[in-house]
Amino acid sequence: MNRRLRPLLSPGEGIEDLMPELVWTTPKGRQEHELKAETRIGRGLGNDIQLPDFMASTFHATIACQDGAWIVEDNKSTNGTFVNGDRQQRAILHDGDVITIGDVSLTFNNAVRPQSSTIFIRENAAAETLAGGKAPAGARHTGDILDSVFRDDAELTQFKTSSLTVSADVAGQRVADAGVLERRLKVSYEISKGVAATLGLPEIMDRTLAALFEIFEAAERAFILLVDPDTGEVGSAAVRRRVPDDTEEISMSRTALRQAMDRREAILCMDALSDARYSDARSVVSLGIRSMMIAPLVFQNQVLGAIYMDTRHGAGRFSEPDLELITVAAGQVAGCVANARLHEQVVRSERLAAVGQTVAGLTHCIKNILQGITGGAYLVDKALAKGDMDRAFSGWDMVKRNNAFMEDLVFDLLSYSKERQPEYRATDLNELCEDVCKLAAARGDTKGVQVTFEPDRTLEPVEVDPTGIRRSVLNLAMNAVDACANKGGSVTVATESPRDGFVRVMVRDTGCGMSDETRAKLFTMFFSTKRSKGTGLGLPVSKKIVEEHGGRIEVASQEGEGTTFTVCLPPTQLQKGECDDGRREEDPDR
Amino acid sequence: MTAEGKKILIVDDEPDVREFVQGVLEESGYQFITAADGEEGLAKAKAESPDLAILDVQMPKKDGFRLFSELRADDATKSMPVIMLTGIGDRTGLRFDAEDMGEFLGSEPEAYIEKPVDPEKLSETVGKLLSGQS
Repeated sequence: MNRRLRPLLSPGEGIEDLMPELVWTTPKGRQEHELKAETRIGRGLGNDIQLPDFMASTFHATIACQDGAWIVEDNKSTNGTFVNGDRQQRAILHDGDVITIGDVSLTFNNAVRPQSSTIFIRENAAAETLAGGKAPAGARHTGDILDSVFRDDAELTQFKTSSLTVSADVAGQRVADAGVLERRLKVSYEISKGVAATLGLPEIMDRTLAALFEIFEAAERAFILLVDPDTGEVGSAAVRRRVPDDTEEISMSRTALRQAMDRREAILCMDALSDARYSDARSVVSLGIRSMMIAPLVFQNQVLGAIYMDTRHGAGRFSEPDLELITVAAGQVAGCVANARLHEQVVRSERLAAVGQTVAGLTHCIKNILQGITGGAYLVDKALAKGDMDRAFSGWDMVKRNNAFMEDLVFDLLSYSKERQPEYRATDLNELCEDVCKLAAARGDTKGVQVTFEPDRTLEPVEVDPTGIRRSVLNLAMNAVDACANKGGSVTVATESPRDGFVRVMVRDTGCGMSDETRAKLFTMFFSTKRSKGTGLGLPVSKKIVEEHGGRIEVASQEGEGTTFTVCLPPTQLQKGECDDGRREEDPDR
Repeated sequence: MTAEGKKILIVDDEPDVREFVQGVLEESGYQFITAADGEEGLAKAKAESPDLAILDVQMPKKDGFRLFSELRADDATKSMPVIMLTGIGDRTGLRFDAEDMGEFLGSEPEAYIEKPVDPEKLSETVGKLLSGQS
């Protein structure tokens, strides 16, 4: 379901201007003070912020709002007022600035509030209708943003604010009963299990709602709402209903949701239905919402969404400890959401970087090949015009050679990019390697390189994808021949029966060997020491194929002396049955 | 001095490129000296005193930039015109031209030709440099 629906909240809607605050630490702990139009700071009792510091003057400084700017002004203090380390008589404050008076450093916070969840209790308010996105019964996640339409925009004005806070800092001050703790632990555990199992965000959200549903038997509906990071719209991301709902509507109090998100406060609504002002609200009438809880998803001062839960089963079905619990869950879900979004960004960046690297590498490779093809064609044309057949054949060879490079490039690219499952067949690795050696020997003949094969005759057939493994071993053998081409030498391909759980194919050469630098880049795409003769994909492709088999490629090399590549492959795979009769299947590609 | 008899040093580790460059220029009566890497190129430049050098950039042992710098640093070769062939811009995302390379190297090659090499451009550039029109 990908239809685009209208949002629950539009971007920026209902954002309230919050007064900035000063935050500092004393031996008693963290202190916060919300600034008013003018705030006096000093050692004396008459100050709004009293600093028990002998370095502070009796009336040390003032912070005041002037024309929209917050300004700190030193009041002729003896020891001065410092902003970010510099003594200032008067300075405009910005979010995060540190004001130092005596030994006390106060941080000016003018962005968003530190995360704390004050519980608001509303005793006589109704939930106005917020109808819209269809949501099937039972647990599900939508993935797409469901929109919802407000049918009634009543304001919630009668919240009573309790002093209860459940921020991590002060949680210990409150003694919750064992049942609450147990329930809280269960929810936390369920979410943590989801995280530990590296479930995706939708699964974690579903799991969270399921755990909350199990605990809150009175709950009839629960939603997790997320702010779309691109559009700022709020929509439902996970939905759970106790009873299948024919209307499939998502309706809730927009004002309560807005308040919870803007103020970063968890909200508990004790009785929504009894408020006469909202008695004609659609949700109240049709759904009979009585009790509801909303907890914002806040991560590093960013509101990412909210958890909403309600019931029709009567007023007062949720309590303050319940709100604590849902707030704990909200904190964990917020962390998961933030992580998931960060991960998405990283994946996107890496993908873009990889695409860029691939395009650059491919362009270079193709240009080299084009040089050979167009250059060869030019030479052929020119030679034919002059009737110089020797030169024409030479140019034609150049064209053919580079055409073959192009074929290799395309094959390697397809092999590398394709997500494939190996097609396992019982395969005689000796026979496969012997074939490879014949091809390598043909190339070796033209370069004065001898290729020999040393099979382990006791080697039983192994379960591999013969096409893929042939490609891998052939890549290694051809590389080995090329490594010997300049100085001469020999290439040996050998097989070995299972040892330490792996059969082995060794490709040894007595060629030029590799520097540490080359070795480090060996399996990097488009890295080649063979210039346009190499696509720079052969080894990455070989590695990919072998790893798809659950194997690995080992490399040992000595510069100037030679290199040994060892392909280690598990002799059997989990996928049995194709060759249970022991018959050795022939490779159809051979 | 006419084009005939002038010596051109071609330094590229790709035999196809060496063959192609010779094929493009052979009708003009030039003589060719070839080298497959930077070290060989430097040795032949000093030993044979060519009239012009065509250098690849990415080469084993000594890359084209280093070879160019060393040619410029040697009194015997510093006045020899140099054409650089490169496709390095493809890999780095940068586009080199003679001026850019000059800034990088402290001295400018006389010409820069990007691979795949346009035979007409190559022929024309070599002709101009050897006739002193550059």
